[in-house]
Amino acid sequence: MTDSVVVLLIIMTFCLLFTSGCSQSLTKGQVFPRMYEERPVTILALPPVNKTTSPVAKEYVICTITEPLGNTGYNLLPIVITNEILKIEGLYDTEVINPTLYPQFRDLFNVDALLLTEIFSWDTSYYVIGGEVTVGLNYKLVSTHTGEELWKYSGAKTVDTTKKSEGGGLFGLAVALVETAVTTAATDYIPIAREINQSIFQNLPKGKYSPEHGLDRDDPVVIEKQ
Amino acid sequence: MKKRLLWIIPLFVITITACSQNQTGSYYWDKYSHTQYAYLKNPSLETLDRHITTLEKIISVSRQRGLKVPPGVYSELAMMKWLKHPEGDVSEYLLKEVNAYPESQEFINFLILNLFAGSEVHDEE
Repeated sequence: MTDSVVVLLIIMTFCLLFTSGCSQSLTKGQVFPRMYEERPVTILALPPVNKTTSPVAKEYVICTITEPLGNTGYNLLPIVITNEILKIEGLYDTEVINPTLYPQFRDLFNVDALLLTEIFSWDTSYYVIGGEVTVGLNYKLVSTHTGEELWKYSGAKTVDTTKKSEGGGLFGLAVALVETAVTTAATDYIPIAREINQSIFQNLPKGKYSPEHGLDRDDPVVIEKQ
Repeated sequence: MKKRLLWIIPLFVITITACSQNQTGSYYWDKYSHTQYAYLKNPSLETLDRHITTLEKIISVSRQRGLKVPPGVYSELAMMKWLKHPEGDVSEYLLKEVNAYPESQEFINFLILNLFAGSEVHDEE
């Protein structure tokens, strides 16, 4: 009798976990239906629009999009090369590329969708006894065939760069403050930006070169708090 | 009691699997982000060579592990080698890019006509 009660309780616990913990979210198919209708294959990532005062943000984002977006299964044209082409055409530093130009990307490069990136946060902050770095990115995927938005998502991450005071008293605190400033200033943003991009692109339906292509319609989308 | 509970284990595994994150991709990237950033931030022969080394390693390790080379790597290597030796022939890498990703044919043809000298590259099927 006791064994049966224990087994029943365990089964009920798993059922609650399965139904309440895993399937309350909206799915990719529900939130991004146009992605499954158009099924873009080749993507060109336009240069990020930098809304921050950081002069380094653009290059960091450019260099950390390729891996997570490539891993999602899309044929991402090499960003280094496409940026050079856009520089030649005078389109690298423009805040917004005119949507009337979108079909030209399709005609010239067989691109199905353009990735539009906005850097809305790239801040190093210092407070009384510590520091932190915050990176925030907005993404949008636009069809070159219809001009419509296929997918959009945004994410932000804050990293604590505070160095703990190991020595005693005011001297130890002063050392910690200097170390925090140095650490924050010398922070390697690449892993931070790459991690944010990884978490954002997990919400992108898988592309042609992913084994999960077309099979992730029911995967949950993580709705970030704004 | 113990025998009855054995079947709980697969149920546990199924539940945890259902709640797990999406799997990451199966490409090999080595230090791609870092060497690319170093080159963009400070273009020099040294940073160019380091990024070329990374791209070549991605290709060789991918082959060893039976993985597909990531999209754009072959053509990026062609570009980097062409920057170092503009008189060299990079058609081998452009052909491999088209073979791996046939949708890149138009893009590669654009590169050949506007950047690299040489004849058109066609996907061999």
